[in-house]
Amino acid sequence: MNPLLSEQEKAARERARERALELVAPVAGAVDDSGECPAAVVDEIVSEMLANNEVAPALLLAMTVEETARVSASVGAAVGNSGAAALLLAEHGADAGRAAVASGVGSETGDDGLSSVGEPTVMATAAERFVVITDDGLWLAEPAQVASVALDGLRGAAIGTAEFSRANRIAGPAAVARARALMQVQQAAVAVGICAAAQDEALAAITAGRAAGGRPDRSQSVQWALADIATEGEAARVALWHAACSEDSDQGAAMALVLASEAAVDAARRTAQIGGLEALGAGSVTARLQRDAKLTELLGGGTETHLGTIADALLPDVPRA
Amino acid sequence: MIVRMDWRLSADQEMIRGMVREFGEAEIKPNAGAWDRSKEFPVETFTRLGELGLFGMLVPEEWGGAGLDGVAYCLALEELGRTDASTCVAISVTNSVYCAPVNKFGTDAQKDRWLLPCASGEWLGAFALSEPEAGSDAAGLTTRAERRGDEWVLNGSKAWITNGAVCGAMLVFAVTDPSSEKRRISAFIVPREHPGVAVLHQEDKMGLRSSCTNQFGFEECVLGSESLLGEEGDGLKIALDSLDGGRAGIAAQAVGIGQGAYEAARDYLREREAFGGPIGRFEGLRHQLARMATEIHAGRLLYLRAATLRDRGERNTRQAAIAKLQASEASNRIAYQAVQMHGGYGYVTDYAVERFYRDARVTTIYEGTSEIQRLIIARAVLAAAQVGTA
Repeated sequence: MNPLLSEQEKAARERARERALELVAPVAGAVDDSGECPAAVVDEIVSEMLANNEVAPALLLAMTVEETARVSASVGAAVGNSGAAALLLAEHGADAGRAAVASGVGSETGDDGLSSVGEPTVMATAAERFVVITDDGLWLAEPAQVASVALDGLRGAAIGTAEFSRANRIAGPAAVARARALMQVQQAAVAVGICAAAQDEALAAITAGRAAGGRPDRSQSVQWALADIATEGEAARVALWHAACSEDSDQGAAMALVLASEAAVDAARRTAQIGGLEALGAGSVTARLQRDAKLTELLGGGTETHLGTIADALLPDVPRA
Repeated sequence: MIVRMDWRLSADQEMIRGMVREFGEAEIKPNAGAWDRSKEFPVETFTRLGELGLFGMLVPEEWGGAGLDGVAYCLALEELGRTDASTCVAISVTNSVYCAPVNKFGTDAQKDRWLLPCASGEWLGAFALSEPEAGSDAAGLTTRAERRGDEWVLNGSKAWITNGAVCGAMLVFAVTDPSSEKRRISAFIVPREHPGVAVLHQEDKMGLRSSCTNQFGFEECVLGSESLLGEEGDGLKIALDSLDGGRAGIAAQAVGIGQGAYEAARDYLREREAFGGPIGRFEGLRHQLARMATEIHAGRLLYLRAATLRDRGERNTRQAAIAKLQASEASNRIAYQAVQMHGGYGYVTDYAVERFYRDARVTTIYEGTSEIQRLIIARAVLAAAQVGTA
């Protein structure tokens, strides 16, 4: 057993952190204000990630997304979806290029009969093509029409819905569980990044002496809130890394996503409480974290869908009512 | 060489887990409820556990132990907690806060006399730090050890001593230099059967009822100089190191209690029929079960990571505190929910979940309360950010 990051993995994580600070930090506020996805930045981060052959792809994706989302959850989500698409295309021998992953809900699945996806997808309005996951397999689809979906969170993640002109199957049903797990891993990584960002903001408030409840050396409430942020964030992170290292574990990825998204919402709320009113001024990072965190509980089917997936694995012999 | 994160257990770790699971299913699980009701300490079962090498799991083979790593040790504790938390805590205390510090800080002569028989399964160990008026505040101890010539004389009382009445020896922490702030306390190895050592009280507990928890009195208890563990004034260091080392184990125990409660609830959802079928088909209960499994999963990963850090000789204070806080709080939520799922049957002793519910409660209290864990975690996070705390 080796549940700790290796030297190569630590180096990759540090590199992801450096690149996020270099490329994403300068535009994070503007991305949220304008709602425009910095697609070129996303492409650069994903390309660099794909060039690393030393770290397992899913773990590298998880760490890259977490560190990016720690600076901007919008860009982190875009990197996550685009990175997952790139990994799936590479695994199934399809040409690279800027793509988004969408889950097919209610789609038709003839050889070229895929027509639409029913739920909002990150990177939809910035992608040139889509990897669509249905129960029947993976599809490489060309968009006929893409509609932007304006949400008050992850504003710069290019969220939208798509209809397709044609689609080709690139993998059969055997590839579906792994693809869905990869999507849950990258979504969980966005949430873990938000947890880390919330902890950063809480520490900044404490360091600046503006923590509600007083100085940290005099306020157990501040210390306890910080400990809960760290504890839930760490629990989510180990579940994320475990899921990323166990690529065939759909249940583990769903667990990681439930833990991470709920931890992100709690962390953002606790950080706001630590920072007080000052932390919630217009355009503040803490306010953005609260908006972004909530979406991690909703996108990709939502917490209830993931709990249902987990329960199905726990009670395979008891069908849902 | 490329090294990658790998969560798979080694063959040895799998083997230990399998062995303890098999023993627990056959010998402990069928009897745990009866032991709990009678508050009976199962001596014969502990004899068997000693023979299996579970008293000195972390102790090198040369001193009678099994020479396992911390991961395997925690896996064994989880399996014991899954069937009976009372059995688990007696094993945990013997291993992590008796054998481990004697092994780490003892001389060869001390190990020969006080470690070898315990680690090889002859008797259990105990740890006497808390006092009636000093629990989390270990620096507030009042039990005194005074040097008289070549001997030490112990006076005072100790509380909450797991295994107290059934141990062969215990580690006792006493004030040796009241004027010192940092080197005020020393650690002593004290035989259970010794002049001046007396059991004052046996606690009647809410949970862990078949384990022994005692208050001890020490009155003019004369100890030879060979009883001092480590150097004079090392006591607080030894105590904190022992608790640090044991924290991942308590997390594993809590995960085990949660796992036991979860399995009982899962089986009940399958078997119990209402409204025309098994109640496990209802979404609300399925989702609750999924949350229980998710929290157990997280706790297990956290303790595995904390134990691995310790095995590698790296500091794991923050990670072990996080594991203990998450796992113990989660085990309480899980046991609560397991009782709820059972309805009225969860409230009677015919079903194991009420025992898990009572047993889980103490995991947020002993070996560092949740409140203390939060302070440890916050201080570690703030220290990393170079922010001062009290």
